[in-house]
Amino acid sequence: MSLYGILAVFGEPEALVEAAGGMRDRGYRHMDAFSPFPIKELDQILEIRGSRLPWIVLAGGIASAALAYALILYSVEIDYPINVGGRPLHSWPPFLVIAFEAGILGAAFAAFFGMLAANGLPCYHHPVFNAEGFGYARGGKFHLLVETADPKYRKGVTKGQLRRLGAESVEEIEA
Amino acid sequence: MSRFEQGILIAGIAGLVCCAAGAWLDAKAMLGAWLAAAVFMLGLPLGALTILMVHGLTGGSWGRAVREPLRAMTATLPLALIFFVPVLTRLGLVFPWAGADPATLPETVREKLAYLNVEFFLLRFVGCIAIWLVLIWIALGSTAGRDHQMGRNGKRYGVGLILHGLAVSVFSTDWMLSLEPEFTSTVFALYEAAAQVVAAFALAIIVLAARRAVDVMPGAKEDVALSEDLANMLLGFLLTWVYLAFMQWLVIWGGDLPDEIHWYVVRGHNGWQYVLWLLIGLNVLAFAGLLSRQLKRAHAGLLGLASATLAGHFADVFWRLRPPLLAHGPISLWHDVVAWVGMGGLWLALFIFLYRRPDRMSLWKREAAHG
Amino acid sequence: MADVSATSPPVLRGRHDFPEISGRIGSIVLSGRLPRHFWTAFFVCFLLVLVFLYSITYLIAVGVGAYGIDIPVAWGTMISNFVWWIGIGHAGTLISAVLLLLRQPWRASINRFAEAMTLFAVAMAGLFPILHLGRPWFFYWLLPLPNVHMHWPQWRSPLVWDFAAIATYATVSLLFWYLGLLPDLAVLRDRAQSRPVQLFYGILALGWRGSAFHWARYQTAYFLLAALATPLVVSVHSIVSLDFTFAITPGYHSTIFPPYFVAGALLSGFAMVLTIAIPLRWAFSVEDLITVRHMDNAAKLMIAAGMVVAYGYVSEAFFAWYSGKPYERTMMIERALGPYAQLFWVMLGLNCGVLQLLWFRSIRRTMPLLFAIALAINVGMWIERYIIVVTGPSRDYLPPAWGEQSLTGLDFGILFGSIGTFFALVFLFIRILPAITIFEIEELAEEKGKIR
Repeated sequence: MSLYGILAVFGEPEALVEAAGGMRDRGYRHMDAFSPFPIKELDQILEIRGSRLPWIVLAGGIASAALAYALILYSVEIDYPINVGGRPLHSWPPFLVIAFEAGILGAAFAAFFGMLAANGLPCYHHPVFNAEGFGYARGGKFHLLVETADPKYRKGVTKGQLRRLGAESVEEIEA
Repeated sequence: MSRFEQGILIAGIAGLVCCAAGAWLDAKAMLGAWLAAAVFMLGLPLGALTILMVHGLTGGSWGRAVREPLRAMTATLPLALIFFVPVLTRLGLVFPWAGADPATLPETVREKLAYLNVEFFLLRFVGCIAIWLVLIWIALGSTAGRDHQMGRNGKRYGVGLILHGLAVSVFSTDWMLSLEPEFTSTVFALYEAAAQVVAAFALAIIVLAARRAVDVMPGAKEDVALSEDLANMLLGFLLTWVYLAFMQWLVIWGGDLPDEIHWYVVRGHNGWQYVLWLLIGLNVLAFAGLLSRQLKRAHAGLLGLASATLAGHFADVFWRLRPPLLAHGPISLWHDVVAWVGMGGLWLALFIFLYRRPDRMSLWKREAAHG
Repeated sequence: MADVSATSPPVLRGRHDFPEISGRIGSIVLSGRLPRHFWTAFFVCFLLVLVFLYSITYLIAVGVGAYGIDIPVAWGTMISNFVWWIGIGHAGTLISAVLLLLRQPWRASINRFAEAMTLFAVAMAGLFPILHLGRPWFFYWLLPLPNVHMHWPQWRSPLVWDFAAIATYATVSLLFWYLGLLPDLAVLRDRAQSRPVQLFYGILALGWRGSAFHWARYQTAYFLLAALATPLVVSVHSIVSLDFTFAITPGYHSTIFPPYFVAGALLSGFAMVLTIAIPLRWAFSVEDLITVRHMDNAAKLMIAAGMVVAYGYVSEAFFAWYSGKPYERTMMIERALGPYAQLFWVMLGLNCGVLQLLWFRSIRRTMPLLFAIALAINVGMWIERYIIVVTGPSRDYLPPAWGEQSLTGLDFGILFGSIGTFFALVFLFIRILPAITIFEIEELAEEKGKIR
C-alpha cells in the first residue's frame, strides 16, 4: 500500500481556510479540502478555476431544443403532412413551446450529469475514506489533504507544518 | 441649467414648433404620431414608479443603486401627463369610437359604448391622474433621504401597487387597446406594465452607467458585481415581458378569432413586419448579451445591453400603437420624428435636470403637497 | 428581504453547533425519533390511499361516465384536480429556485420539503390527465413513439405540450431535489449505525466526500438548475392554462390565463407549504430552524399572489363585458348567478375575502390562524379550478345544449384519495430523507455567527 497523502483535521472552517492559505504560502499546490458545506474562500487558495459547466448546459439546451424542433418539423413536413384545422404545416408558435420544454430538459440533464462527470461521481471508493474519523459521523469536521504527488511534500516536514497551522490531528492515508 | 440640458431643451422646443405646424397641416396625422410618442414618454415614469414601489415592498440592495435615476424619472410624471392634453382636445381624430356615428360602428363596439364614451373616458383619465399624483408624492417622499426605513411602508406600498395596477390597466385599455375597439386582450395591461418596467429599468441603468463604472458604487454584494446584479434584474424584467407578449400572441394565434387576430394581421403587413423583426432582433440581442457574464461586468457591455433593451422597447411601443393610427403611408412618418424630438427633448431635459439636482424634487414635492 | 428591520424575527433562532444540527435533523430519519401520532396520521392517510386505489380501479373498469362529467361539460374534476395539484407543485420549485437566485437566506430550512412537496404534487397531478383520457392505457400515444398506427402526436395541441411540460417538470424537479439531497445523503451515510442503512444512503450519496473542488462545481450546477427551473415553472403552468385558452369556448379563451394561472399556482402552493410546515415544525420541535419568519414571508407571498389572482377575476369579468360578445357576457353572468353560483361566491369569499386577513402581522404570526387560512385558501383554489373548468362548457355557443355536470362520490373519492396519497408520500419522505437541508442550515449558522 502506497501513501496517498496527509490529512489534517480542523474544528472550524476559519482554521481550515487559514491552514490552507498557510500551506499555499509554503508552496504546496496538490491539495484538497473537505468540508460539510461549501467555503468560498477556498476557491482562490486551491486555485479552483471557473467551471465550464455553463457552456455545457447552454450546449445541452440548444441541442435538445433543436432536436425537438427538427423532429416536429420532420413529422409535419416530410413524414406525415396533414392539414389540421387549416393551420400551416409549419406552425412555429406551438412548436416553439415544445422546443422550449425540450431545451430546458436537455439543459437540466447537462447540468446534472455534467456536474457528476466533472466531479468523477459516483465514486464509492476514495483514499480519504480510509482516514479515521473522516466524514460527517460526529458532525462535520474540516479536512485539509496534502497529496504525496506534491513536489514540496516531505512526510515529516509536511506533518509538522500542518500541526503548527493548528490541525487538531494529522493522519497519513493509504491509497 | 447646463449647456447640455439647454441644448436638449432647444431641440425639444424646435420639435414642438414643427409639431404645431404638422397639426395645422393635418391634425389627424399629427395626433396619431403624437399619441404614440406620448405613451412612450409616460411609460418611463410609470415603470419607474412601479419599480420604486415594488422595491419598497421587497427591499434589496439592487434598488438602492438605481433609486436616484428612478426617482428623477418618477418625478417627470406630471410633464408626461401634460403631453396627453393635445390629444384630449380632439379625441375623435384618434379613437374610432369617439365622435363617430354609432350606427357606423361594428356591433361589438356598439355594445361597449357605455364604457367607451368621451365623458367616462375623461373621468377615468382624471381618476388615473389623481392616483398617480398621490402615488408619486408618496413614493418620492418615502424614498428620499439616505436609507429609508423599509417594512414600515409595506402596507402603504401594497395598497399603492394595487391602485397603480388598476390605474395602469384602465390607462392601457383606454389609450392603447381602444384604438382598435373590436380588439380585446385581458393580458394587455400586464403586458404594457411589464414593458414600462423594462424601459424604466433599462434607462436607469443607462443613466447610472453613463458617467462612471457601476462596479464601484455602493450596494454591491460581497461576491457579485453590482453591474451583474442590475443586469440580471433587467434580464428578469425582460423575460417577463417576452413571456407576456408571447402568451398573448400564442393564445390569439390559437383562437384565430377575426376580431383578435386582426390586431396581429395589421401589424404583420404593409412594412410593419420590418418593425416587428427589428424589435425581435433587438430583444434577442439584449437577451443573448444578458447571459454573458463578461458583458454584464464590463462597463461598455452593460451600457450597450441596456441601450439595446430600451431601443427594443421603443420599437415595441411604435409597433403596438402606430399601425392603426398611420393613415398616409411612410411619408407621414415625419410627424413621428418631430413628435419624438419635441416630447423627447422636453422630457429628457427635465429628467436630466431633476437627476442632477435631486434637491429640486423635494421642492416640487412640497409645492405639490401645498396645492 | 435583505434589509431586515429590527422587528422581523430571525431566519435562525438560538445558537447551534454542527454535530447538533446534523444530529437533530439526521436522527429523525436514522433513529426514527418521530412524534407520537406520526404512525396514526400515516395510517389515516393510508386508508385514503386505499380509497384512491379503489376509486381509480372503479373508474377504469366502468369508464369516465362513472364520475360527474356529462355532455356538454366533458371536462370535470379530473382536469380541475390536475390544475390544482400542478399548482401546488409550483411553490416548492419557486421557493427553492427563485429564492436561491435572489439569495434569500430564509429558503434554507424550508426548501427541501417544499421540493418534496413539488415532486409528490406533480406525481399526483400527472395521474389525472391520464385518468381523464378514458382509455388510460393508451397514454403513450402522446409521446412521439412509433406506435401501431404509425402516426405522430398532434404537435399543435396544448394537450401534447402539457405532456411535454409535465414530464419535463417532473424530471427537472427530481434532478434538482436529488442534487440538493446529495450532501445530506452523505451525512446520513456516515451517521448510520446499521449496515443496510449505510448501504442504502451510501449508494444514494454517490460517494460524496465534500471536496472543495466538488463543492465549486456542485454550486454552479445547482445554481444553473435553479435558473432553469424558474422559467420552467412559469412555462408549465402557462401551458396548463393554454389547454383552456386555445379553445374559443367562452370563459376559456382569455389571454390573461397564463400569468393568472401561475399566480393561482403560487397562491395554492404557498398555502400548501404552510399547511405542511406549521404542523411539521410543531410536531418535530424544529421551531428554531423553521421560524416564524418563514411563515410570515410565505404568508406575504400568498397575499401578493392572491392580489394577482383577484386582478385576474376582475379582468376576466370586465373583459367578458368589454368584448361586446353576447356569449362571453352570458357565460360570466351565469358563472356568478347560474347553477354554480354558490361555489363561485364561496370561492370569492375565500380567495379574495379570507385572504385579506393576512395583511395583519398579528394574524400572520399566529400559527393556528395562519394554518386555518392556508386550509381555506387550499379549498378556495380547488373551487376556482373547478369553476373555470366547468362554467365555460356549461354555457357554450349552443344555448339548447347548455347543461351542467354534478359532483359524485367518485369525484370526491379520487380527490380525497389523491390528497391522502400525497400526505402518505410526505410522511414517508419525512421518515426516509432529511426534511430540512442540513448543509445549508450549517452554512447559514456559520454565516450568521450562530455557531457555539
